[in-house]
Amino acid sequence: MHETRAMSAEGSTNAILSDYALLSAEPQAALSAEQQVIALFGQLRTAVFRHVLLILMNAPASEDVTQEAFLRLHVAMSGDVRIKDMKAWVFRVAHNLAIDQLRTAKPSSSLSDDVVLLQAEQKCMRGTRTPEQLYLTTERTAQIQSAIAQLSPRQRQCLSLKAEGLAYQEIASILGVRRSTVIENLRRATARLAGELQF
Amino acid sequence: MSLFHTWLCGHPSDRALLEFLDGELRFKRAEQVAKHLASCAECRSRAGRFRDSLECFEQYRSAQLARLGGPPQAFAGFDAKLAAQSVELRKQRVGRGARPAELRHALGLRRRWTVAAATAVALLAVGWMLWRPAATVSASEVLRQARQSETRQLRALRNPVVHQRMAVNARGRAAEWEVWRAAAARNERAAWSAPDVEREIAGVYAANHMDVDRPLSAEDYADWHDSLADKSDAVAKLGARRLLQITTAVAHAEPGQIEQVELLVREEDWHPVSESIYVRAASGEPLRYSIVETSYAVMPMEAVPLRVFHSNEPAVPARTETAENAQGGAKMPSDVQLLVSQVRVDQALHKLGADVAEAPEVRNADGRIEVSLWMGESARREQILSAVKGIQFVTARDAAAVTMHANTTLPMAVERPLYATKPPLAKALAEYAGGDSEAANMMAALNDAERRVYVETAALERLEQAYPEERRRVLPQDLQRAIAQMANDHACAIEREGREYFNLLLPVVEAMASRENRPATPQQSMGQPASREAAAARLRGDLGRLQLLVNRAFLEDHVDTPAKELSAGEVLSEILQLQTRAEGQLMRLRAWYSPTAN
Repeated sequence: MHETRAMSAEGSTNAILSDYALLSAEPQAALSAEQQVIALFGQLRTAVFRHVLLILMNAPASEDVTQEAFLRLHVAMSGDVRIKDMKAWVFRVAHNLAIDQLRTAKPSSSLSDDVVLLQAEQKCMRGTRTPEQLYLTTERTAQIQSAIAQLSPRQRQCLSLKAEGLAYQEIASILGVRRSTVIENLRRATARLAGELQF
Repeated sequence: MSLFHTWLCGHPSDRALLEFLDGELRFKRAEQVAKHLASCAECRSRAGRFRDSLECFEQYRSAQLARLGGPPQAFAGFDAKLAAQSVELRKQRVGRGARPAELRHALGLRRRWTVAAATAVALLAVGWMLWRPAATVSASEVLRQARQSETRQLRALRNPVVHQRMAVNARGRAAEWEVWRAAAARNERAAWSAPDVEREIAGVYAANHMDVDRPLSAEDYADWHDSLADKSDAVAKLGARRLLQITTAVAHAEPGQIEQVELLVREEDWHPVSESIYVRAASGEPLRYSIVETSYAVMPMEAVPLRVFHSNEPAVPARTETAENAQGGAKMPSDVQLLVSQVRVDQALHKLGADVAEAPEVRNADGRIEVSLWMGESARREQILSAVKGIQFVTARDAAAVTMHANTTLPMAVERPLYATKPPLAKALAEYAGGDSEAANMMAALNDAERRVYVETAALERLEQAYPEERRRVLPQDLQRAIAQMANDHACAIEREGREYFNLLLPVVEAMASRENRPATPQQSMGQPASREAAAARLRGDLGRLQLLVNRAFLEDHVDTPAKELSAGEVLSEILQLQTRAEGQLMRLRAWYSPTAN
């Protein structure tokens, strides 16, 4: 509990730092912004979509968020913002959009932002637990699910982005943490899973 | 496997093994690990366990993704949207052609558009009307616009005074900050709810050559910004609230200097609404200060209460003198006549409940009682206006004419990252309440109850400020009684609503504390001898503090106060302590208007 708290606090500070690291000036290639976005969209849309899907748990909404993230990339590239790592940028924007969507999906005009955030976080956590009912077929799958449910959201996201084939540094940029934090999250998650599943 | 063990025997650490499995090790080190694995069965089995658990997760993830399905539209329509957006962006770029300075930095593509700029002005106008740009603008452009709009507002009046109220959070400590600034006369007044926070903020401003008299001012921000040698800017759009966030990062900040500022600017009128300042600390973590504007108004000097800039003089005589001077001895209603009218207005408002709900400002200005309403056309407005219309010497005025904006919601929460939120009691509350939405409802009800107490206290405080002892003495008996009646109504309401608030809060926290097996140990009440005058303000402050505490424990993140994790027991003891204090304050408050007091 204390470990995850420390990590989340650290993560938020780094998120601030890496935000402008991501946006820092770097000359862009000679291709037009539109061409670059089309190329990137072809490469990354499935991966981004999957990442968003695991947050939102809703395919149509995730598709919209994915498209919106790439459209925003296009706007940012056409504007004054120079983007160093476009892959990380688009993942990060999609990630934030997904979380924003969780926030606005609530009929929440009367609720404070705090309440919506609380609900969103818990919905995130619930979301990763929902498939349990569907997969409670064998004892082993039940065991796996409960082991995964015990991981922190950040640990799950690190694992998930790694499964998407992203490098540690990319995961770090997307989640707004340091590379070493990503490794540490992965190490804890792996050790925990190995322990829980008695490998 | 312990770190020492791995180091001693040359076994790769868990981290190194993980990096090796993911192909993240540098070639040389990877070769070493591979060699080691070939010869060490223990590490091989460790690596195998890691691989198995990672595979397990991947299988689970694929199953979950398969269940959720693919993109239903197969990303149809993206190309069309992108093309449309390209057209719009080009239109916008044409508009930028009018400012060649910016284009010098731009790409060649944009330069071509400067040529087209002159012919495309009409097209641009249509474009702007049809399409609201979603694009980011540059930081200097946002600052320029914000400065312009600031200047425009001030130029509209002959002798403008800016009145700002702000909520300040200095490394976790909250304070209220109020500034009155006569722009032309360079005359400033500031009031703080916490002197230690004031000193600290003043220190931060001074160390960075910023003007503490002009908080949240685009002009001051721009001055500071331009004085920096090595900085980088980023502008982000926070969509839901139509805010632009400028982030300025300072390279090589010394300890005590600002290393990053985030300024939130409202897009519709380029008004800066909040600022987060990160000051470099000697050790590691930056110190965070946030300033959030809760209200902002520009008004003519004549509309400013006299006490603001002439605080040394007693309120009543000063008012008469100035009024007489201003009017050149013209026939004016006497002070007592005005006072009587003021009480009548307050009575009328009280009867409608408007003194709590809408809280129009009632002010003695230039021989009139001025009632300023902050509301648009509505039946309620008419009702209030007609209630005060018949009273002598009363002018009703639309405060909207000089008030730029009163922020009803704080934009602070926008910037809070979700994954930084780990309120210590949020889970416990959800468990106690039996679900997320139940917990959310409970918190909403609590916020609501707190707000009701808060507005009543504020109304009582206003009443107290309007009618100090020496002014009440000159009034006829029946009006003195009317004031006492109004004060009593508010005090009763505070007691009633306050009890409801505590009733709502206490059992929950008590139950959670008992589950925590940590009995609440209420510390002795501090028992500060609050003066009668300060009692209402303090009560209000305490309630705000309590609500902040509750919100922090249940809802908010702990970025600002990382050292403290609140347990239910601690929250409970704080509540009990504050409750005792609140009761004491209410008692002192009652002494204020009770006939036996004097």
